[in-house]
Amino acid sequence: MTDTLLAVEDLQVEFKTSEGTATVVDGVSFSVNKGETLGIVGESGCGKSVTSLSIMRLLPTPPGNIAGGRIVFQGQNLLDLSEHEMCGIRGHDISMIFQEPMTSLNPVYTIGQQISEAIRAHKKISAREARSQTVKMLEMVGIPEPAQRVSNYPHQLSGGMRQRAMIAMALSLTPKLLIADEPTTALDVTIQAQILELMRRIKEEMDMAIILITHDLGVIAEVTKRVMVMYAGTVVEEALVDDLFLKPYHPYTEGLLASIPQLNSTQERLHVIEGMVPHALQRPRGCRFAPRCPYAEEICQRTEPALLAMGGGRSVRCWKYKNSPQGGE
Amino acid sequence: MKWFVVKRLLISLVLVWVVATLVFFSLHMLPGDPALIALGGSEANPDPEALAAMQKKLGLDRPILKQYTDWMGNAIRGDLGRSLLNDRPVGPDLRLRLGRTLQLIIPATILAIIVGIPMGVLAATHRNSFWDPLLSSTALLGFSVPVFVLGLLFVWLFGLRLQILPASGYVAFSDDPIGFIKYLTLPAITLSFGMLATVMRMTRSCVLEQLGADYVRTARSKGLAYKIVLYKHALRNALLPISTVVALQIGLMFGGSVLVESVYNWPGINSFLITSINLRDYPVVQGVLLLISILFIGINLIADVTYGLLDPKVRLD
Repeated sequence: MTDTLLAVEDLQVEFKTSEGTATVVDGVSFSVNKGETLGIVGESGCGKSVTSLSIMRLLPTPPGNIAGGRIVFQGQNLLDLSEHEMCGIRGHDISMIFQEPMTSLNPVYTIGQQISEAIRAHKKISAREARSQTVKMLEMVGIPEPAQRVSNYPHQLSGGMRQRAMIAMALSLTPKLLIADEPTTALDVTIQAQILELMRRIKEEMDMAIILITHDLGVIAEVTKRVMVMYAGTVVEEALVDDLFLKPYHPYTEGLLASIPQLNSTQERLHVIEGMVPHALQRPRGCRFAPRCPYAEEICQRTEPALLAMGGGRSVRCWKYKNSPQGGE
Repeated sequence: MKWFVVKRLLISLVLVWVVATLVFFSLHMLPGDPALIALGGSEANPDPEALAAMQKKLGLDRPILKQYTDWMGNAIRGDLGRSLLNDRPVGPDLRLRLGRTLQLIIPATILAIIVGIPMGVLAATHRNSFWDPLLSSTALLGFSVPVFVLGLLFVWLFGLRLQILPASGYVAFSDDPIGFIKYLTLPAITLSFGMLATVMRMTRSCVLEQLGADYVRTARSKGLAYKIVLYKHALRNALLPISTVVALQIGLMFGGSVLVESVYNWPGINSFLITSINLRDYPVVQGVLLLISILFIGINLIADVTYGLLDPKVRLD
């Protein structure tokens, strides 16, 4: 597996609250190969954003704290690096774009200043050179009239343009890994499609790996090959996107897929998964999904199932598959 | 931005006129007749004819509206009239006294800014060490202690017990620069205390708020060092609300300087005002209040323009 770019192994993230210590990410493991796109799906509060911030070592500490595990990037455990060494990796090898393009850019600097700043944080070049590289980046992400736009302030750009500027900033040093945390959630549907198309195109051009974090399985289907479903701080299912859509194994994934509105369906009401994500301080003793699961049995209430390899790169965390690894019900 | 400034200037002019008018009429509604006071007060029981003559001499026999239009007309031309007390022109005295008060207020403001902002940043970034509670409680003390108590405390401690600084008085800078600074130190520190505390608390809360903002996370995800993110990004944004607070505080400082001037015997504009009010010296009181209101409105104008310069959303509108 020399192709592995990033391997997260048994990651444990805790948050200290006044009511106690909550384990927000509990034993999450996954890997991303060079040039691959991995999707991470889950409801809000499932730990997907915390996982991505942990990779960047940008978790607000305190209250957050990486309690265990390893995050190996190009053979190096990021958790062992000093803050100074981490600054050399952020933006240069691993970049991140965020959900809110409205607030993710600094309102008092032009987008050109902010992108140039990223470039000059890692490369010893003149301000003039950085500016011309910035204009090139803006052009690449499809911002019209980049030479003029470079001196615009964030408030002068639309949401979609701001997200493009964010992408230009994240990609300005051709990172090997881009973490996109809900990059299209705050955008209009038409703009969403444009941004996803842009990400797909750039990924091809730059041969970069992407971790795409979203709650929207539709977005995953557009962009990624492989997907990981998270629930209440754990991975519950991992599969190729096509396989997952064809036949979800985990009851939670099944519920998620059923919740996507279908235009050609005769169904009148949308499917909902009953109940709520359990609070991180009051997780059930057994399977974390058991209280909401239509198939829950006695064993599900008692013991948490392990992540079971199902062959073909698939794995699932559910008692249903204990005795029939080929997926029979 | 240009229109913004022009519009604000026009509004300011109207405001100054309204304030001047209000001052004029409210002053004339006060009981007490300057002519009577000039003749020794009601105890002296002056001859009614002498009183009428004095009123005529001081121009107080004119109808009030006439007095108002005369005064306003002259004021627009820059002539604030003559003191009823000693017939000296009001303008030069006003300039001299105001200069001395500004010599107090400007250093106090600078002190409050250059000490308050770094202290606020320190408190914000060391929220979990002893620095934050230490600085925050000191600031609370700065808020709560009245300026005259602090002033008297300083006079007693530094002026009388330790005798390292003069307890009160004033020397002109042109006469004795070092003496001026010695006399200035205690009153300026006393006056700056409240503003320093406010600026510190404001900086602390604004920087903390900005450090939690999304763009700070973006800046860090670019690989910028924490110090750069703190000063170039978070503090730069925090300066917007801080600048507003500073402007408001400069206004409050004129109030504070009344007490500070009186504790330290500083011959500024406030002692001038108080004496003139007691003697019903209308032209002087009107002149002082007109000047203070112009200053107050001017400072707010400068604050608005500064805010505009700091905030691209306003600057580019």
